[in-house]
Amino acid sequence: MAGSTRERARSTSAHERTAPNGPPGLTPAEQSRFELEILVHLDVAYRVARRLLRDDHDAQDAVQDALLRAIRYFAGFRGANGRAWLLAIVRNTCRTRRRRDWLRMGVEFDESHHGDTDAVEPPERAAERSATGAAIERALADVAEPLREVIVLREVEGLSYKEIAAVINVPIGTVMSRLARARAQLERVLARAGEGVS
Amino acid sequence: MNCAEIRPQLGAFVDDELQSSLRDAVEAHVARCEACARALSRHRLLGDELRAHVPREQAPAALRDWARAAVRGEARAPAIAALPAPRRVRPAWGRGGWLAAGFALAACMAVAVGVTQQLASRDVLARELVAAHVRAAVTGHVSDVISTDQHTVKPWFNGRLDYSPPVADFADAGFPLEGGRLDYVNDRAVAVLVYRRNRHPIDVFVWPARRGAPRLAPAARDGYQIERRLVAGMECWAVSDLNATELRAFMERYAQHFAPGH
Repeated sequence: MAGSTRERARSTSAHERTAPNGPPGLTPAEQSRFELEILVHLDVAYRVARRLLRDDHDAQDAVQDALLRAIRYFAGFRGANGRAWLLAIVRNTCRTRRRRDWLRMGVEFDESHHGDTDAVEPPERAAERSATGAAIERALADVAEPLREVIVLREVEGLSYKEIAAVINVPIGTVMSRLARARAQLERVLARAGEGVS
Repeated sequence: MNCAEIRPQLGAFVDDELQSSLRDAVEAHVARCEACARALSRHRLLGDELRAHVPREQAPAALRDWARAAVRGEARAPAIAALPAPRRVRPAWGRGGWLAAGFALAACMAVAVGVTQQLASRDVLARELVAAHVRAAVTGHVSDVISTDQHTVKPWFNGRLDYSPPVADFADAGFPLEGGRLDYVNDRAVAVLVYRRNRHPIDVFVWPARRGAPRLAPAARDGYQIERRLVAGMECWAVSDLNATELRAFMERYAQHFAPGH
């Protein structure tokens, strides 16, 4: 328990340190550079956050958080790859949020908070999507997080191994092995769901 | 190379991420090994299925607008999505038995309580609406466009939403129009019309109705009244601290005004 208390303290202060407060200042030149190099990847950032957090509302929240951080740290952006840079921030933001939610779980236990995505998604929206698509998305949501993020980045968003390595901050070899495990796990989940890729 | 060496490379082969010497080795192997060729096509299929079926959503317009404002340093810090509710906390698998146990308990409770999907989503919606109403009052951000003129308020939503909410002033009935704003509820940006009855603000949340949308009884929540009507193909939900009778009278007036033949 001591460990989790320590972790709670650390994660809280880390959050507060990076929490958005006050308008971040970009010069007009930086503003247009930010729009061109970072903000064009907003859709990808939103989709990745959605798949990582499995919740639209949390995802939007996380993207906003991530953007405020990106704006604040934009001066430090030297790389050529704005997409990987933004996604790295989004991914870290999502991880911080999940950790925080975990630690809160003990205090904010509320049955209505624990339904799965399907219970909360408006029925009319769920019906809009195809059965296969829904099954695949459910299967994807069932894949363990470290594996889910690589498969989303690779298969859904089409990032190269090198980009994925930059986003999740691991060597390319690790990307490769995680991806192999992710695919194997996804195939198992799909097969179990009776929607196996035959 | 044998099958055991080839298999781990298949994914990277499909992704075109292998060095040419390895790529050639894999190619040569699958040409003569049926089992590995099957595994390879399974890899390909999985990728195809994912790309074909996982939706590539665009970021919601409200989020995009917020982002542009943030770049210019104009975004309010507590942003659109910062709704206090609903908070859904989900367990991450493999973080320990007590978490699994907690989740199992939650699942049991959900079943025991017997919450139907509709009731649950109604409660979530009611909570979101009340939260949005209260947040507007607390932050003082009640209206983005302040006008008692329906011909100012209605066009204001043009270009901000892909639909046009029914707007009229009911000052003659004691419900003057005060303005409108955008809010974010039910996973979408919605129009909010702001009316007032004496000192009580009334928020009317409007979004296009969907066929098959659940017909939900209005539910009071935390001392706030909620009234719902379908008006001109729109879901209209009024939230106020006004008493139930007056809020119902208001919504009847509102619905009647836009009823066909009026």
